[in-house]
Amino acid sequence: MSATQYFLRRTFISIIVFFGASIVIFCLARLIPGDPARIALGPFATQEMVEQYRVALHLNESIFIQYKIFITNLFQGDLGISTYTKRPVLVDIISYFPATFELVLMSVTLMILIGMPLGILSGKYKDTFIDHIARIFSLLGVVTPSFLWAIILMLFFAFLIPIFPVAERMDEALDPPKIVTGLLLIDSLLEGNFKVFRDAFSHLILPGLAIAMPAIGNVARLTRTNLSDIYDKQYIEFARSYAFSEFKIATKYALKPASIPTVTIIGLDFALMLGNAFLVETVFVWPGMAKYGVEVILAKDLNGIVATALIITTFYLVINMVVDFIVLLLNPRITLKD
Amino acid sequence: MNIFKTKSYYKFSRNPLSVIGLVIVTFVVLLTLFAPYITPFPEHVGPFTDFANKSKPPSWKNIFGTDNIGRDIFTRVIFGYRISLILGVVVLSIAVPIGVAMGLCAGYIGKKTELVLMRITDIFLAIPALVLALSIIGLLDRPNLLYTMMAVSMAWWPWYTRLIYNITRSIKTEGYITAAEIMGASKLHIMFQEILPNCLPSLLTKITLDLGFVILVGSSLSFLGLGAQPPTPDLGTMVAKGASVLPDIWWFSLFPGFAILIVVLGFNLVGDGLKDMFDVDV
Repeated sequence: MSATQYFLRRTFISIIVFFGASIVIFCLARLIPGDPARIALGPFATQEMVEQYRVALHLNESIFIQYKIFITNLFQGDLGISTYTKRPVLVDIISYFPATFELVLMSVTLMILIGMPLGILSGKYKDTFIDHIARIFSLLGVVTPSFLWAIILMLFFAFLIPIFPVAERMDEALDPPKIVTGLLLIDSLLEGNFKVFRDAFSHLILPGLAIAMPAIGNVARLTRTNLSDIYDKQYIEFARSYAFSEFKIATKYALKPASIPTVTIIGLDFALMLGNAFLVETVFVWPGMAKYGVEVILAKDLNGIVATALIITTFYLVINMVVDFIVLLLNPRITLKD
Repeated sequence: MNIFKTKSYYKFSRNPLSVIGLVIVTFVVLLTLFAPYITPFPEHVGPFTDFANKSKPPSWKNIFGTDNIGRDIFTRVIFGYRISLILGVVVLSIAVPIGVAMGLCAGYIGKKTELVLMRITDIFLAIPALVLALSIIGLLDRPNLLYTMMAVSMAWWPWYTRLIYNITRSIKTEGYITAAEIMGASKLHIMFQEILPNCLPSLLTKITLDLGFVILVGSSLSFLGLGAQPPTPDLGTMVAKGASVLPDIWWFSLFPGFAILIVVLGFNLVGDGLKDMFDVDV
């Protein structure tokens, strides 16, 4: 199978999974015990209001017709009206998604920049003091809830040593850049506004780190195991016998194969990080998808909940496709059969 | 079963971290079992107020301090452990049987059953677990502990299907399975009597690891206000309440937070120890 065929096949599978996930989320929203209209409107709504809501959401049709309407509207970019914000859900999502996207990108960057070196250190100096410290650090990363990381980081680096800001995406005193991509870092660079760039960057560090912490532990653990396996391989010994420098062996021969499983785990950990974004955004009052998600959940906004779950799932699917292609690039001899 | 034969336990006990984990878990379980007798103020669990003693920093009387309405945080943390452990046990006793049954069927029967069951599993795995659980709770009537348990179980079973499916696939062509087939054993017998016992080491390891992670996810949900409702002492809820009064009243959120960390760490260390002891990969 050629790379193009692999690409097409992978995309096709993702599309099927997307439809599956949309069915699951949709069915959950419609088949859960209790009248969704009544739950959404609360106990004080009149019978007429409930009936109106049922008609607006096509709740009186059969579930198949409801799904057909839902999926047709979805492809026309119509996710319905949010009862919480009173705006079309799509508009809400367009305004909230970039903040989360920027935050998660920051987390992935931190996860690679911290997790891999940590894993390399402990893989290279296996069973030494450095190794033990790195392993304890990565273990703590995995077992600590990310909201606790958020609180600890906030206490230390925002209150005790106030070097990072506490909340929001940027300082209120600064003028926000014109929205092009919605990502503050890119928008401010496009305007050449370095003050906003620096400010937005410092706002990203703490929440980004809090989201990345559990994943950093996973990456470090995995890199450690793989690296120490690869250092046992004969071709490393062979490279040593050619008197290649340790640095060259590490970077050129050991790191590339060791990074393949790490890239794979980045894809899987994305689910973890997207979930953690819900917690961390709440702590840092981050105006993103996750905060929106929590708000619509608490407000019992049916359209909002379905859309949030669907968008996050799609995001996760796309990222995993990208990850699979990166793995393919890193490892050309990967079996493309199944 | 020879899981607890001396030799195996010897291997487990070689790693000091696993033993520390076992001590933590045992300690937490004992604390929760005897919570009403060892906590200094068992009456602080319910709707109790004592505004004279509100927001007191840690002292000998209240070793974790008191919260914003004067309740002893140490007492509430211990009772919070109860909720967490119950959540972990209930969620896994729903998710594991579903996942195991589906994994065995998909792996052993194969053909269309495999295709259908594994696609369903993949679809559930495509939705990030916490997001799935959140949406389910959001769609249900009013958040409470029971709904949290249901929601987390819904998000958790696919991992067991995956695990059991992979093991089943790898052992279904072994000689003793073929022998059982030739003797005319029923599919049910082969799945549950021949294959399942071989899955137990992996299963037990994963359950131990997951007890910690289920507690973590459960506390994450209650942190967002979607778990057990006040005045029930729930660790996640306590952290959330305390987060709003940072940094002045730091003990309010940090101690319950560390309590979650400790119990998750305990299960994780034991799980890692079991992983080495059984020499399995989960």
